[in-house]
Amino acid sequence: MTAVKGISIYVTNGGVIGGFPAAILWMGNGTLWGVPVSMILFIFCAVVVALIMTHTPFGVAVRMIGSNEKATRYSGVATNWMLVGVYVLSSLLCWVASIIMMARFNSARAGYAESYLLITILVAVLGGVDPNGGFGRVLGLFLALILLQEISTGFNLLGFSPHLTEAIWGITMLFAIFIALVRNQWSLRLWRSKTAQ
Amino acid sequence: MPSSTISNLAGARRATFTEWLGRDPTVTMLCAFILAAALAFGALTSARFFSGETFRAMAFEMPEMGILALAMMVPLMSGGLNLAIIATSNLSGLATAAIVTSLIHPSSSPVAVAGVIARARPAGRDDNLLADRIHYRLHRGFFGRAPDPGDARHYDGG
Repeated sequence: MTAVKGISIYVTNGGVIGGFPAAILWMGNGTLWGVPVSMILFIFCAVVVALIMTHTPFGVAVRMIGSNEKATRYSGVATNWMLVGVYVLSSLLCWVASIIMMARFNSARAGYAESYLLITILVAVLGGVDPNGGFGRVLGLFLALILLQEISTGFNLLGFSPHLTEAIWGITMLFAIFIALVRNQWSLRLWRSKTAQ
Repeated sequence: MPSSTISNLAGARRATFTEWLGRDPTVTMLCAFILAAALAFGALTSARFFSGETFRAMAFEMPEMGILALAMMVPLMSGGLNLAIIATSNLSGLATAAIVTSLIHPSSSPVAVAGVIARARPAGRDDNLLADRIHYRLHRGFFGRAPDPGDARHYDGG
């Protein structure tokens, strides 16, 4: 992370590259049949990632690695090459995101969107992705994203400071964890009462 | 696999939509949250929340974070973390920006740009052994077979 960021800052001297052709700007600000082009791009990426994670040997291997890397290697999967694939896929998605960012700001710079880093983890975990690996669905991530966006837009309409939004996102996450805990306790108690009979 | 299991799988009833939702508690909970938040904001902002403009604003703001979240999700599912996603997207953005601004004139049409990119792809293929090897491994990982059956002999040594 520091290395990549350092290279960006060194190459540009912290400056901005701007002035893009209309085709690039259209990807960030244009609409197609009333739907933003960037949204179409996102849905396309989400569908592709969902298909890769559920319907290819690669996706299955990635989830297996997340559950138990050693067992996956002993079952004959070239885990180190799968991990190369994971980070290639991740970087490819970063590139798509960078095009949208570039088009929206009409410029590229080394320091954009730094605050997003931990929020992306929050979105993924809120969407049901297990931080220890192995489990998660793109649908959950998509819904978590809608929820957070809804909260941010809603509080914006109510006239709250945008700085408050991130705090409320964090509280949403805590609330979701709390509900999951309560539900687990509840189902455990239900199971105990059933087995006791 | 015994034949009875296969017939069970084939004869299984397709789940209804609510069953499919209910199977994943996270999805159910998030749907409930979204609905509750929408109703609360709708009531608090006297239905201004449900205007088309609000939805358009949300649709413009979501994709950026969404694709970055997807980029984070893939390593998370493999049990890792990619803390370099923002730095990677900034660097690749800079590289794309440098290429785009130095090679493409701002007034050129999108069709011409797409044409140039489409023609550039075949030219990028070369006989680089390392690239070939990585391509072979990734392709076999993704699709469970070699890109070209003849290649397996070449890279697997037998």
